[in-house]
Amino acid sequence: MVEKIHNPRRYFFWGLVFILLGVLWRLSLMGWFELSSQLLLPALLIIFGLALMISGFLRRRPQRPEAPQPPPGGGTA
Amino acid sequence: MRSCTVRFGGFLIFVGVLWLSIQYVNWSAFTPLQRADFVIAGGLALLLCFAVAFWSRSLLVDEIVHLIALVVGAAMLGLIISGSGAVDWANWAGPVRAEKTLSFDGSFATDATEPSITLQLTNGDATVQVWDRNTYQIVVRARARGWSQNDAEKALEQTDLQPQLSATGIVFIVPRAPLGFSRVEADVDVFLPESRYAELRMETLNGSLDISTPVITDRAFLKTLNGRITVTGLMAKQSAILDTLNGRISGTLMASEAQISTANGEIELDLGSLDGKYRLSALNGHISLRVPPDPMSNTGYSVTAKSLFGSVDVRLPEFTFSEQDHRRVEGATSNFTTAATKITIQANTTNGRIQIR
Repeated sequence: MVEKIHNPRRYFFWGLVFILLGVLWRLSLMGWFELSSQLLLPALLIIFGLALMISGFLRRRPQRPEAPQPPPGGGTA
Repeated sequence: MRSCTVRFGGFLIFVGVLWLSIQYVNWSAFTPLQRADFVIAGGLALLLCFAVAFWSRSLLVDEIVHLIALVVGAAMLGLIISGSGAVDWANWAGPVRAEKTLSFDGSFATDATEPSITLQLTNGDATVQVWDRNTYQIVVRARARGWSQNDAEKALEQTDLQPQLSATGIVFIVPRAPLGFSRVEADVDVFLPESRYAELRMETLNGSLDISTPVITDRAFLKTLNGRITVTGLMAKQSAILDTLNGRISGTLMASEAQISTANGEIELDLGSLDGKYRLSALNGHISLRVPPDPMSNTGYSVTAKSLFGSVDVRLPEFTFSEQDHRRVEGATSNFTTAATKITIQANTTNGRIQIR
């Protein structure tokens, strides 16, 4: 794989943040709820948390080291 | 090393686009719903960037996608900051504003020789002008911030915005909150009948002070911390103090004794033909004085002007220099001792030029 200078997952993370923020903003404008100060700060925390979680799921888990193979013919009788 | 350089370049592009987005894009031209849709669309564009960059095997494509992502991200951040009122949310006093306008009328007693005017504000502009009526009027435009409409209106109601009116004067003081943190701003316009006043006192912490028509008073005291001071034909028979920390002082002034000072701003005044001593000082700003035309040579001038890092230029008719240097001038006009009107000028600035013409 070609070594990348920029991490593409950052785009994913910030894309999610913008989408969630925009949806929240739009819903408040549509009158679903009032975006007050008591709601805004925790909502931002939740948005960042959600975006971190979702982008974290996409992270490829490091491969576990394979179990050492027994030497050929080295098995016990 | 290459990676660091590329990232720093990206950072500069991001800051530049963010700056442009905040300063030059008129996001308020769009409706709030459209702006919210832009943010969602920006997010979708970043997801698309992610998809392209994730499966890309070319460094060139990666860089182009990164550039697009930077521009989209910075533009959306600029939209959120400037178009959504996010700047207001950063204000500790709250994003919601309540406003009210109050008006007070009255008249001074006919036997009240010299009424006094005192305006003491915290955040707001004060304007004084003379009109052609025998009554006075005070217009207070007050604003308060809060975290909700009720909060802002409550802050406004709790602030005493009632001036003390009497037959001999007007006193309007906006109570200052502890440590100067006030959620209430009040602009005051005062319309006065034409008269001679004993004292005209205008103070504010953050706001401009403006005397927009000729006013005659014995003493004038205009002081602001952050804001300009403008006087249009202020005549102070005894003394005038014009003081600001950050702001320009300009207009037309006649005073027997005047102290004019600003730390950061220029002083640009037209002097009137009245015996007087003017002490002007600026820390970082030019001082420019214009004297009235005097074809009969009735007015004599004595000048001491000094600038630490600027030039001094005095061009008065028949001016005799007792000391003349690029940065310091001292002297007087030849008629100073015999003139009917004597004006003494002492001007000092640290960083700026001085012009007296």
